[in-house]
Amino acid sequence: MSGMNSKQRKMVYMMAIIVLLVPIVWLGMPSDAPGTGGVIAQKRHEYELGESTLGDVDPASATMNLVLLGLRGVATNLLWMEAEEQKRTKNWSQLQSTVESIILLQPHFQTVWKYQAWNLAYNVSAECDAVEDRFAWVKKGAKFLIRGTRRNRKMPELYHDTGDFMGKKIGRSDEKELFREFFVSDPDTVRWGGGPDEEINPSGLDNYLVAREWYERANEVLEESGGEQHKLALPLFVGYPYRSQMDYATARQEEGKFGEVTREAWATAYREWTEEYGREKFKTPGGDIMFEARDNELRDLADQDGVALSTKRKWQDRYQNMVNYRYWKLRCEVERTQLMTEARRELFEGRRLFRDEQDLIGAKEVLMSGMTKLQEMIDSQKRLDGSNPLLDETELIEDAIKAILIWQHVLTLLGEPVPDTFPLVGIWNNPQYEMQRQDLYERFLKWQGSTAG
Amino acid sequence: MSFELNSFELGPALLQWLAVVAVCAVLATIVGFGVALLGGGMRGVGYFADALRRGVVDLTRLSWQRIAALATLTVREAFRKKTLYIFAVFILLFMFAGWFLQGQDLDKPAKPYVSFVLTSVRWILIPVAILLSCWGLPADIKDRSLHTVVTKPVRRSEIVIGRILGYSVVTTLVLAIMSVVGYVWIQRAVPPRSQDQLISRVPVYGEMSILNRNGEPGGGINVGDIWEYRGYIEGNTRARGVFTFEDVDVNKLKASDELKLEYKFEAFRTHKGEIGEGIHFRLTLVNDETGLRVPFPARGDLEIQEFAGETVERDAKPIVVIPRQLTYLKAADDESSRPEETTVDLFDDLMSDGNLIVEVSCEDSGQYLGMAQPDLFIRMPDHSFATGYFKSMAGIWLMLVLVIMIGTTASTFLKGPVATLLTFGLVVMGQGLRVFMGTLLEQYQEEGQVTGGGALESAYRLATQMNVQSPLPEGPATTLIKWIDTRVFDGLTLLQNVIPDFNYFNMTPYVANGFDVPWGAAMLPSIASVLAYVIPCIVIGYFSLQLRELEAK
Repeated sequence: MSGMNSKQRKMVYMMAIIVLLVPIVWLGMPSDAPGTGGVIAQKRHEYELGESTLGDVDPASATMNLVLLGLRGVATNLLWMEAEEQKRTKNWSQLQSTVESIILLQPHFQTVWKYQAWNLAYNVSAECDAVEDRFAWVKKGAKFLIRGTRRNRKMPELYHDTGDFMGKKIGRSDEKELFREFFVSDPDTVRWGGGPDEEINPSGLDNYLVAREWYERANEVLEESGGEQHKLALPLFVGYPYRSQMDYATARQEEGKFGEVTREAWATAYREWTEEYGREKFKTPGGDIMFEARDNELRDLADQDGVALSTKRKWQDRYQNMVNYRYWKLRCEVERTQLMTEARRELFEGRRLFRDEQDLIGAKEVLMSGMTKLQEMIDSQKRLDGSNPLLDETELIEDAIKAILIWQHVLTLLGEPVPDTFPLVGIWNNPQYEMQRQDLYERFLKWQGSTAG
Repeated sequence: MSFELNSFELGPALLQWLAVVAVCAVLATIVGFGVALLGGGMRGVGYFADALRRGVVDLTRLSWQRIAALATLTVREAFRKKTLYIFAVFILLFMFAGWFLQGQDLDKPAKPYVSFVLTSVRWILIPVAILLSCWGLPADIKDRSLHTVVTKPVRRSEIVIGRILGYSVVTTLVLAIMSVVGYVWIQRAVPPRSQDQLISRVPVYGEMSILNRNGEPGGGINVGDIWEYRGYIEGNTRARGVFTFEDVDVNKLKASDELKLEYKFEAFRTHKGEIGEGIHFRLTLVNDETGLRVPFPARGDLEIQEFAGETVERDAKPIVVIPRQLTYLKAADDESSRPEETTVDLFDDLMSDGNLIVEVSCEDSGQYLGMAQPDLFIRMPDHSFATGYFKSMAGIWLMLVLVIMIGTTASTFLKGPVATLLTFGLVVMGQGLRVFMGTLLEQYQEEGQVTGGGALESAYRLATQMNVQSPLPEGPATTLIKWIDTRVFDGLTLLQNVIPDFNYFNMTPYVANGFDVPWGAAMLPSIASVLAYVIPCIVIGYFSLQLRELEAK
């Protein structure tokens, strides 16, 4: 090289550049259809590593990562520190912006989406005093997570978490009454005109039904992506859409909605639980099982896997226990009946008449009728060996004791003696429920004096 | 958002400045004298005296005409170097800003947009100012064009001042255009629902004290918040937050016949309470001189609007508007008589001397109300958003001028890259590490040591995985480590007074949160900081340039 002049040297450099460019261009040729293009494009497609196969492509995110060169890690750390500081100093709107920046840098890091969505929907939300503000932050968290699912179409956990936000966060918080109301009729009337926030509830459905849709999508994604999820045991994970249907029906009952829609919701829940979920095959150490497998089917499965029928039954039983399968089946079976619906409606009405209307005579009659029907329902489930699975249902027992407490109190107020026998007396006198009775009695005393409880 | 209310006293600051400048001048003279003496003996002392004499002449007999000519040359040179290309970066950033701010989000408050503009302008122009000022003189020295300049009848002090002025003019021009573009962008980009957040509120803050549940002076309760910014008062007790406002311009308030109090209290619940209803509080307006106490509202109470402004979904305004005529039930002197309805004039009866005490009480039993000094203020008539915005830009301008002064001075005795590093280091230290340094030195001055020790001790602890509480093993090594660390802290204590505090120039939090930029807490210290460096920078720059071998490449 030393013997060359400047022009010659430049020519050599140019040649070297061209020679090096050839393999680069050849290797990196873009693809115009799956499986085409250079080696890199083909490998990207084969291992599903392309941005577009992971989810929606965000140009801002790609630009940021490109511009930062190798400093993405440093920038991300700084942003995380900033986010923590903003959270500490309760600078919520800036926190939200910082979180947006973090996600530009780490769009395919599942934990970031989950962590920051939880941060907004749970931590920030809880800091606000006005329920409308709390709801606004829950929505922000949910919307954030929804964006996460769009950017990462192959992460079933994100879909599942979105279902949790829609279902549990909206439906089980202290503010659930208002949250559920806001979910279908957003408090931000300026933007949504009294309807739901279409970004999270486009069809104006109940929150549990929206949650159910997200859980269903999680199951679909799980199936498409080959069963990779690290959140829950598979039978529990897959069971969430069905559980959400039950939550929907339960929530309606708690709100005093006992019409045909609620009964039908329970009927759907029963059908799906036994005919869809119950018929799914799950892998166990004892081979495949189905919760709702008939004897011959279970025997076939045992033969197929080369294990004893007793082993198969053992694993079926264990897995049923894990998801509380039999309890929920029984619950749906009972709740879908007209008799149980009526019993629940009357017990609810009795409480309302006593509490809100102070109609003691009306309350006494309706409660007695409800208690009678509940007793009838319990009796209908009695087995030949004398046991009764309904008597193991804590919630049902609680409802029964609550009804008796109010009814007895109403009698006292009316100056009437409490008779020795009355419907549900077996539960009332059962020493097994003594603790529960004591606890509910104390709560009943508080309930009379305040709205809590 | 919360503010730590800065207080800046001009008098003490001036005294401190004089002391620091005097110490530095004496030190520089001693060092200069020593070097001259050692280098050239008595002849060196003669040179030293001559240099000093020339310095006094050159620094006092300045020709503003020559300075203007030098500044004009500097401006031309900057344009020749295509400084204005920086606009391309700026315009690109704004074209795609929507990408990064999730522009489609209609529920976004104005705050992130304002922050974005002010922050990006600051961080785009800091490198420009550093590079311009640090590379100008070294480049001229390298290509010998400065050699031509110094042969002309021009003083070297004028070269330094001319450079500083020239670069300042360039950055002023660039900043002016960026400010206008940024202003228009904010107006267009902020969603319609957040447009009303584009204001400049003018707060008047008071002094705050807290009375405990027995009504006695005491601090607020800590409810377990790791951020110990607010003190909490217990509901339905005699606990009060007492805000004392002094010298309020009542005449300005009289124009609207009402007093607007804005609050930012935080609620803390120990039980769920009424879901769907906020925590309640009441105010008592007190004239300390006459003892007149007027509850507000006269009946019922106020519901807290916590974190209003952090979301736009709920149109909540944490403002209490107190009308001029206040009617309340006054307890009769005679206990058996019924309270009588009384009307007082807010300005004449309660704020006659411009002073007012506002007591805040929480009305819900078992619930708490958190407050800090800036959490309740009198809201004077608002200024336009432009007022706060352009003041904030003025803050950025002042900071750039300071950076240019430091950069130009550094370039008189250092080569371009080193001067750039030095200036950038000072900016980073003055902006990011100053608070950390302040905390360390405060502890060092109060306790004589810092938790975990200085640099060497910390390194030792890191290497040996020793926690910060355990004492170091006794021995000569420990003594040496501690001795060196102590000297470093002593040096840091001196340096602290020399490194400029760039935090004053950051007025973004005010404007982003809808406040006007205050004069006393932000503008005055910023101007004072810049002025404080004018003379030292020119003097150092002059002597460095005078002593520098300009023919050297």
